[in-house]
Amino acid sequence: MLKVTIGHSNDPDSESAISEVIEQCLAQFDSDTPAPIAALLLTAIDFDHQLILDRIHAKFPNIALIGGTTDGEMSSKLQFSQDSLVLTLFYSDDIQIQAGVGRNLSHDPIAGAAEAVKHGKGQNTETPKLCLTIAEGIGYDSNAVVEGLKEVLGDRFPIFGGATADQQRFKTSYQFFGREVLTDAVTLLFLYGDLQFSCGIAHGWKPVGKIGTLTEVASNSVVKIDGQSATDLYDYYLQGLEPSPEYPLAIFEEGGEFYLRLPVGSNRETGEINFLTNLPINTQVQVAFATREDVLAATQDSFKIAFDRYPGAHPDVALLFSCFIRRQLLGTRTQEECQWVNKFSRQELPFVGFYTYGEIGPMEIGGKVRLHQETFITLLLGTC
Amino acid sequence: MNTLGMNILDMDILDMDITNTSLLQRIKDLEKENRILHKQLQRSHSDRVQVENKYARDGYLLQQIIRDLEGSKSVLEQRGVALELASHDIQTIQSKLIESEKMSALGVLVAEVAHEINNPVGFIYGNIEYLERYINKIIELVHLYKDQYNPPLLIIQDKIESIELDFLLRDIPKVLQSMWIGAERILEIVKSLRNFSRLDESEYRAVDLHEGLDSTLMILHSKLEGDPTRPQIEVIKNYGMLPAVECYSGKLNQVFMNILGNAIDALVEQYDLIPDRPSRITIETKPQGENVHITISDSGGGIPEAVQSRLFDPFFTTKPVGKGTGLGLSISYQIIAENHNGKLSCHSTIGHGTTFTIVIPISQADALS
Ligand SMILES: Nc1ncnc2c1ncn2[C@@H]1O[C@H](COP(=O)(O)OP(=O)(O)OP(=O)(O)O)[C@@H](O)[C@H]1O
Ligand SMILES: [Mg+2]
Repeated sequence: MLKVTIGHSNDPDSESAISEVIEQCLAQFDSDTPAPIAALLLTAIDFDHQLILDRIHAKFPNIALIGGTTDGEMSSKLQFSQDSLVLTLFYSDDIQIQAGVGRNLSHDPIAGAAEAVKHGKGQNTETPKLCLTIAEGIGYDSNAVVEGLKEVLGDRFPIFGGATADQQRFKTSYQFFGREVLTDAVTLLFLYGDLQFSCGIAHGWKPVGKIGTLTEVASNSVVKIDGQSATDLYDYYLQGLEPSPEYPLAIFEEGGEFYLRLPVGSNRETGEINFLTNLPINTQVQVAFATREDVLAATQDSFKIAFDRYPGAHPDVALLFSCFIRRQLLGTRTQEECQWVNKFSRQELPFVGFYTYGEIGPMEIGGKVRLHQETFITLLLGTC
Repeated sequence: MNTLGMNILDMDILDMDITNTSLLQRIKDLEKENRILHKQLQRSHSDRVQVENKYARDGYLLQQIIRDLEGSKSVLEQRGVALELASHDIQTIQSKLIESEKMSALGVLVAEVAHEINNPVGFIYGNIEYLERYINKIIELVHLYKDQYNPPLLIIQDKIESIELDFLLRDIPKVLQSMWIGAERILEIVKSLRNFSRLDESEYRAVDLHEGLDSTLMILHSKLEGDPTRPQIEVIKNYGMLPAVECYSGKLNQVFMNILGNAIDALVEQYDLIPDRPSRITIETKPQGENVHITISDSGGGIPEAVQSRLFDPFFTTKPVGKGTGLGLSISYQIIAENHNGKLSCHSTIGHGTTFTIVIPISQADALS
């Protein structure tokens, strides 16, 4: 049995918001529900996060809590909302959940990831079924933390989650662990027991125009494409306007498959373009483009794939990780992303999710995990 | 609000309390709404800026893509022209192919003619021997007459002088000798022609490859011979002990013909450039395991690397229009690789010459299993 209760408030006042959210959660309690064992807290950047964690701690002192700041929250309670706070509590008598944290990612993301895994596993010698992670999304190569997790857990161990966001200021974002407000950290939950799950991932962007090769890269920036300033490629299409995340680079892999990396700014003097992750040198790239229709069609694909592949009878909860740029591009139609859940699930299904600076997951269960951008990941969890 | 167990008297106060609490609640709700609206207002401005920027970018992007599309339209138009030219080329090549088809039809004709000539030449060759014997006897008789009727009658004496009998008697063996040689040569040529363009090619036959090589050399005889402008081409044969090899012999001869023809072309060209180098073709054969190796080397100018990589491409030629079609080696490659499960390779050093190596299995059944 796996059960979740969700509280979601868009009250900008931290005190009122957290009381409202806890109240909502408790109202869904019934007498035979055991105490919650884990919590996922997702909030906008402009809250008093410490106060919120203290209030949760006061109510549920021993709960395994992780979470972080986002660029928009969604849940079955309030649908899509910006500047809101959503708390999800997990209950189960047969699933175990343990939390872990790793710090100082900008110093050594691989070591940070290893630390979180070690911490999360603790004394437990059993192999977990699944890892949910919320990791820092700014200020280092966020790709590396995923690679770090894979290094310890294995290339194909199912890891899902997202990178924390700060409403596109690209300054500081926060991660939550227990009672702590952190930055530069990775938090995770390990799920043990008889768990069923499936996933679907899609984006909707199509590469257009000229194909170039990354000829010079430096940490999180691309310096040269085809030996020319990287900004030249974008200037060609955007007439000198800043490269922006709606126009990601498609990075081609062997076999013609591609993934996306979004630009978050540029340096006009050096002609470099900045990204949130490192990019591989000598790969072919192409600017990609999507309309709102493309983006929403991909969201549906993501749901469809996940529901088609769900191995059990019906999932208990859907976790959604969507790229912040999808929200920006969709504008008032952002609602539509999460509204598809109930069209695909033939019964009322609780869901919770957020807009991220990087979505983490494999293309399919058993596939290689990667940090994605511009995508929509649906993760269905259940016990039957 | 739980009203159970309350006294009737308290009702008024309670009423007021209800109004108060609900008022308080209402205020609280309004405050919350106000906070949310305030936040949303802040948001909407930054969202609007983002949307406007996005519009500007989309506009530019689409403009540029349209420009690019127009560009590729004109590229496509250019390609159209290029395709037309290519299709013209194909037509030329096609007519050349028809030409080469005619050549192979000619080959069939030659084989048939050779077959037809074979019998009459056989009569001639076979009868020269009798002729020689008969004539020798007649000569003996003449000598006998000469001895017995000495001096001869005047009329005979006159005849002897007018026909130059002494000369005739001396020349007859020479005439016969050259008839021998001529007839032998015709026989050889006919045999080579028949051998070269075999008509029965529907299945593999075990043959002596040396016969095929010799026939081909025979047909190329005039090209190997020197003329006033260049010396003869020396052919060195290092034939090993080959077993009979299962093949389509006519097709293999075509391969020998192509490679030897190319070698001759290379040597002639080379002679024009550096006259004092020897013009030599070396043919080597040897069995090796399940296969036979046939190497044909020339002492020509060699093949530049850029050319080597395209040697076996159809229609690749460095020869002047009308001389080469560039099909020789590509057809040869097909014959060796596809028809005989073998290998055709080339090794060449500029300034030293070129070697083509043919490797084919002795038994095709073994090669396939
Ligand atoms: N022995 C050789 N020495 C130097 N060059 C050679 C030799 N054999 C082949 N080549 C080069 O390879 C090219 C292709 O040969 P190939 O026999 O396929 O065509 P070709 O001789 O040009 O024309 P075709 O044989 O169809 O009349 C020749 O044009 C020549 O440049
Ligand atoms: Mg040739």
